[in-house]
Amino acid sequence: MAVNMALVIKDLVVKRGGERVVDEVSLEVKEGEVVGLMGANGSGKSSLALAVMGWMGCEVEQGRISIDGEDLLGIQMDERAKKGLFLALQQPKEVEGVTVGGLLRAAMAERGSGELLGEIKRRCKREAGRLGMADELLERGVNMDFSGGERKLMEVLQLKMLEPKYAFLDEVDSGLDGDGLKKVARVVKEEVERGMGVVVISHHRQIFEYLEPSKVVVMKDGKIVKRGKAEVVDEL
Amino acid sequence: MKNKKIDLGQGLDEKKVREISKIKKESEWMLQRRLEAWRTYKEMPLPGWGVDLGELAFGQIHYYLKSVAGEVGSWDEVPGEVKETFERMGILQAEREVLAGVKGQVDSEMIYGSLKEYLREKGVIFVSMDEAVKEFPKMVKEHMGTVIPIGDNKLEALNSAVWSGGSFVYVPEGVKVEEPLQVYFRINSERMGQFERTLIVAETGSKLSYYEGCSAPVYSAGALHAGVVEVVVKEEAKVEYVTMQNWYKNVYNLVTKRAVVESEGVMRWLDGNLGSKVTAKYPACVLVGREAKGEMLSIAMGGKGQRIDAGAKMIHLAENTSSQIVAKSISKGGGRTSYRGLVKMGEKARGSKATVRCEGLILDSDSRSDAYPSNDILADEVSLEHEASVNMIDEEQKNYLMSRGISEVRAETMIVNGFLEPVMRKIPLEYALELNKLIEMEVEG
Repeated sequence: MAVNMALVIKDLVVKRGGERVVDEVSLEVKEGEVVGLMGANGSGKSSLALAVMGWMGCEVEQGRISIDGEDLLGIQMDERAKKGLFLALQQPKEVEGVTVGGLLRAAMAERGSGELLGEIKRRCKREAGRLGMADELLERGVNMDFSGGERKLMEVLQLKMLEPKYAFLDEVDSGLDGDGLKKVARVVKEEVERGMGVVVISHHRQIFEYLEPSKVVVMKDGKIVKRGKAEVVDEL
Repeated sequence: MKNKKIDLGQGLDEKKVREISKIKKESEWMLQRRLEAWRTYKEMPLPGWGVDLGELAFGQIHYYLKSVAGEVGSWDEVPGEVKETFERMGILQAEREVLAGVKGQVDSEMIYGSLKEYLREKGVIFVSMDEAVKEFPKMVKEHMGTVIPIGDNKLEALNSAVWSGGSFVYVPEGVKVEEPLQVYFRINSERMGQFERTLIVAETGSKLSYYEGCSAPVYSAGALHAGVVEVVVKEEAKVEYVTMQNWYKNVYNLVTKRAVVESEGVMRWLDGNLGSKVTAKYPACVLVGREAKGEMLSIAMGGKGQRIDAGAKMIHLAENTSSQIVAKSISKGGGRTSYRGLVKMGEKARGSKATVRCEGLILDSDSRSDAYPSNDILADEVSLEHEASVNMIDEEQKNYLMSRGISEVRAETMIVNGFLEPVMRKIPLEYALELNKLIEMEVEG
């Protein structure tokens, strides 16, 4: 049987702080596919993304997660990332004294890449320029004293550099102005064309106009309550 | 016989103090100084520092041990085993490339020394303290004990009684030594007590960087290192004193270091403390001239079984003086670090300012970090800024790095390095790299 080239989430139940935040969710994202994930605050969208990544505090009670036929649940977050998973966080963390170049150098070394820091920094600078980020942001500790929008750009920059197979973008559009959103959408689109499957979490319709999801799902109280095509965005 | 090993055995009494002086063929004034210190030592209580010295068995220490032939000026004459040790530390390579001069001390005696010729011609002196007592008695008499008097604390009195080795540095007026002088201290024998005595005199308008590295091999029984360092910074002179302390983890490291800084002089201590079982060390700057500056940058790492109590003292005694203390510490595996500091503004310190920033990072719940700052302000119109924080490593930060495919242990190391980065940035590159490597080894186990 041919391997299903997809991120597959099956009957997933997740608890955080003892509470059931994701309730029997099943979702499939194929190579090169854009999936929209919508729903009110607290409906479980971020918890779903965090649990798939393997973030601390997300306990998977039941279900399965796999990418391209390989099980993810038995392995730690860093191993999941190395298998090609990426999460652009809704609230990216600050890390003092670690530049994005240093972070990416370490991340790439773990993937067996021998790319030198200088070369990574050059590529980073180029991609940051395309995202409209000031060079100075690359010299600071990651996200240190960044604005909300700058943090989102920093997440997309890392996505672009790490070239994941599958990604979650958790409200990557919040805090960005129209121009910033356009630039982010362009970069994400390039990655989708390369073959990345992506789940785009958002409250706003604009990002979906740029990214044209092939399917859209809506969560409420931890469950998927609606599945459809792009028209679902308009209904909300 | 030049090569004969001399060991005065364990424990100390007046006879041994006399014996040390005799072995060194010292003049009467130095013997008398030693005896005065010995009497003071016997009467003094242990210092009320923040560390428990109860386990330190003074009676089992070897107070003088000469294990290698006398000091040589050529690397080829250094005995093989010792040479290997120093080569592993990069001493030779470093000397050729960047250093103005090098000294190496094993146990009680200096075993190697060099100084670039052009500096000798300019009148720079860089010799072992033993040699200085013989060759430059006037200068030693004039300065020794002026910065740290006999009986400043019990360990100082002990050092004054039994000191051996250490260096004497003199930089004449206006001479700027651009390359660093470097000294390596090695404890190579079990239950060894190393009591080096260092005196640095930087004349008006001169400049000097002095780096010391410390290490010891694995021994089951503990050793004691109780060095004393005095620095005289004359008007408009600049002295930088860097220490990389990586003693084996059963060494008691109880060091007294102090600088007196005259008008517009600058003294900067850079202190890396990684090794030792117990470290108690609070380098001081006594700012006696107007616009004198004192600075302390300190990095401490306390692992399993280690107690690192380090800090600084800034004593402002003249107008418009300034000082800065930045102390960062990491505790891991049940280790304990603390910052202990004093900022004093004397009555004449009008217009002076001081900033203190101390931060502790704790990597696991078995470990501990504390800050004990104290201030003593006797002058008006002074400013003192103080920030202190102690934090557990941020799990969310760790998760963030891991989510990019970085292993947990690597993520931890990166966070530690990032935490230290503001201090590392100010340390000369080759030392920062060495320190980084040592810290990574400690964090990653």
